[in-house]
Amino acid sequence: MIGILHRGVALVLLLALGACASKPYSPSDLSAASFLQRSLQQQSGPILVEVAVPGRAETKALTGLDLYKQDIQPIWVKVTNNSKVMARVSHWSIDRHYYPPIEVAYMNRKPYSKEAYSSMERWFYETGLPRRIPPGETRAGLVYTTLTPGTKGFNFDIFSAQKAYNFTFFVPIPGFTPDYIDVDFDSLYPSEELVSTDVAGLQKLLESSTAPMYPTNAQGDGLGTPLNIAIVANRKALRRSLLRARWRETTDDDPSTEFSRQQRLWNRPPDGIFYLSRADGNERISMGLWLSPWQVDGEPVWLGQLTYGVDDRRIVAQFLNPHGIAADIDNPQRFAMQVFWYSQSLRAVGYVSGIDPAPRDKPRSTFYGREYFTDGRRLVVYLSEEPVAMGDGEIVYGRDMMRRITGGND
Amino acid sequence: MAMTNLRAMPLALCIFALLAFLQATPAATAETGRGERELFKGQSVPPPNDRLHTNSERDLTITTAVPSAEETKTIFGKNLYIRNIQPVWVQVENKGDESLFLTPMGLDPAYYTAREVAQRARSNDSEAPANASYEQRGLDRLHVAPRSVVSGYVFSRVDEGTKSFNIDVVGNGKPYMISFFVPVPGLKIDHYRVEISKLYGPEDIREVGMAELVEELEKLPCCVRDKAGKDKGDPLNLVFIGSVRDMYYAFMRAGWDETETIYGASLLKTAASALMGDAYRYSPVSSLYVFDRSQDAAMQRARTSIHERNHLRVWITPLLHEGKPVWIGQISRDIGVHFTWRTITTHKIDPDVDETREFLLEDLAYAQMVSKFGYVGGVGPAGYDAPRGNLTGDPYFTDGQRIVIWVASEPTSIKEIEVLDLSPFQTGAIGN
Repeated sequence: MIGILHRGVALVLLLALGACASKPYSPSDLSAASFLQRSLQQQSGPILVEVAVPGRAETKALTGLDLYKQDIQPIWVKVTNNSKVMARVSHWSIDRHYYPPIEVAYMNRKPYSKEAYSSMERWFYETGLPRRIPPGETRAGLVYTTLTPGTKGFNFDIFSAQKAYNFTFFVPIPGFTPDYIDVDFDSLYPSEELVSTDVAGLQKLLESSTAPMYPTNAQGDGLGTPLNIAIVANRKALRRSLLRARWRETTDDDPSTEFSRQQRLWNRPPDGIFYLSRADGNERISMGLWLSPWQVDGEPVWLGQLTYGVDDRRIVAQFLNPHGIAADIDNPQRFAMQVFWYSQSLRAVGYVSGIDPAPRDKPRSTFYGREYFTDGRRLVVYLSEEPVAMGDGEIVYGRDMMRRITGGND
Repeated sequence: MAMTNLRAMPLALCIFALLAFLQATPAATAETGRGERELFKGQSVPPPNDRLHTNSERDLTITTAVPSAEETKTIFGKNLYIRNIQPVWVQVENKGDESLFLTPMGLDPAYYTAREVAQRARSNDSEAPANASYEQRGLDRLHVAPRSVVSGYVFSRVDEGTKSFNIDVVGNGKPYMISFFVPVPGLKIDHYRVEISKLYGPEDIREVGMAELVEELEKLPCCVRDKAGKDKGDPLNLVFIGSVRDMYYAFMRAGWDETETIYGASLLKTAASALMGDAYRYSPVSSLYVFDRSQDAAMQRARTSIHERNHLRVWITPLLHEGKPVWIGQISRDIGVHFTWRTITTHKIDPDVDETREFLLEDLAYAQMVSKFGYVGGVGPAGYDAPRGNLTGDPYFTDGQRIVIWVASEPTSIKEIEVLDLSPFQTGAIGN
């Protein structure tokens, strides 16, 4: 009797497995995909590049696979080479951790029969973006990148003999609205409220009592974490620099930004909150930014908070240990400076004073209960739209200031 | 002519250069005598001072030391290596009049702050993090004022074998970017000498010009073999031209890890026991054979999971081109695990081996380590619908080309890379 039962169970299992493994593979026609209608185009010299990024549902409709669930995001790229020499596309420039097409197919082989997998592998292989584009010709295909939340920003390089063409794209993704999208930056300040200054003037301004030191809570009776960064950049330069340095966008309802969004400066929550995550841990650096009414030589100044947090939805987890990682707000500041520098976005950099120091053994507390310590420095970065080599960044607010802030002991 | 060049640049010299380079530098030896009392006055915890490495450039002198897992335990009282944390002691001396910034991100783009280390080093969740202990020893200042010295530990991620890192110091004008290659104690490196220097005698080695180079490369075996030399495996689709040192720099800069096969199997045990937490980055690669011997060096680059990794094996040939050794190699990209009769389990490789080959070119190019590249034949094409099989039965298809990469001795931007058309030299030969 038991033997019959066992055989019965085995038969059911076999049938179930057989049903799974016989699933046919049925992708859609890439050339007819609707997301291609949102394509963006850029030209550099003789090279024309067109890109489009399918959202989650569109990716599923195209490939038959929920690739977003596997942290894989396809990008469609079309390159026309109007030069006289072979152009070589660099997949690496889009994402150094890109997945080759057949790997994506192989990762998803399980539910398919051998024949179905075979046609899936072929589809992925044939729709992949070729690397070599002969002179006068056009090639198009998909590149499989690691999923990034929010706007898909990426670089794309093409190199040929001792020449390189560099492109940067920002592609909005359906279903994700970054917080800054709803801010009408142009009407935040009437023209009479705008204050114009120069590089030296900004230091005076930031160190004067005119400059806010902290945001407050909504009632105005509690202080938030200090405004320990000032960024000078137009909106395009800021956005490109954030992309180059791999800062991620957030949405208004992102629970991990809850406390940041409770803070008010010039009667409003941050205009945008961005973060950097550790690849091998759950720590993250958060940067909340407000557009200020100040302008340095016509470029807007942003005031912001750099803080350290733990990438944990259980917000309370971040505060169980008030003297832990999150209390350190100077290290995220150092990290941010280097991130902008290494990602070739830093035109100029300096430190000014303007925040009351709080030593490690006498930390200060915010209205939401977080303790922090700081040496009282404010980081000032001037960001560039075009890449700046590390050696071309300038140090402003020179060493006299450094001595003044640190008492000459630095 | 060939013999003259041979005498001018024997292979052994290249190997000696690497060995000399892997040893403590003369400057380091000089510093050693000064001892901790003078050099580290005021430092509560000195580094292992017998292995200091010093480099000077213009107004800057940088000294570094990397404590081993055991030494780290002595200094910090915790086994940090097991948490993937490797402290690197750094001292920056600014003799100039300009303010400079040390940027530890050059050492490791994901270095840990003192408090992150404290948090990770705890034995259990209820243990309070020893923040002060790490903050005191950690390098907490980026600013290096004129005529001042800054020193302390930077907490990086673990590298075994050789710790390769850059110390970058930026200010107004040209940044200082100084590379250090520091052997981490506990791992023996002498195997290197034994393994490679015995391969060829002076009579085997010869210098070849471009035409002869292409001809010789196309005659080299198409594929790797098994130990018996019988069955053919993965295609040998890589050629490098570069000194041992250039090769080493290039792969380190591009983020590749050594594997134990560089040094021979005895090292495997050392590496595996020293690592534990991060063992898979250095896990062994199987031996494949060319010239009747297993690979002279193997490198790997871990990706997102243990099943996804790029493997690369190289063999040094008896050829020299423009005085530099010529290497032949094989690369494969693991895309999963499958079962075989021979080895029980093995990694499934991406059958599109040309894709993997081109990835490597890009990987080295973005590390600024490629000066020129071109293609030769020798592998023989195999189409998508008529693939060949490797030793574990995985199919692969290829255009049959070998990429020839001239490894740069100086950082070379992608705009400066020369693309060589080697087709006029191609012979159409396919290696056996």
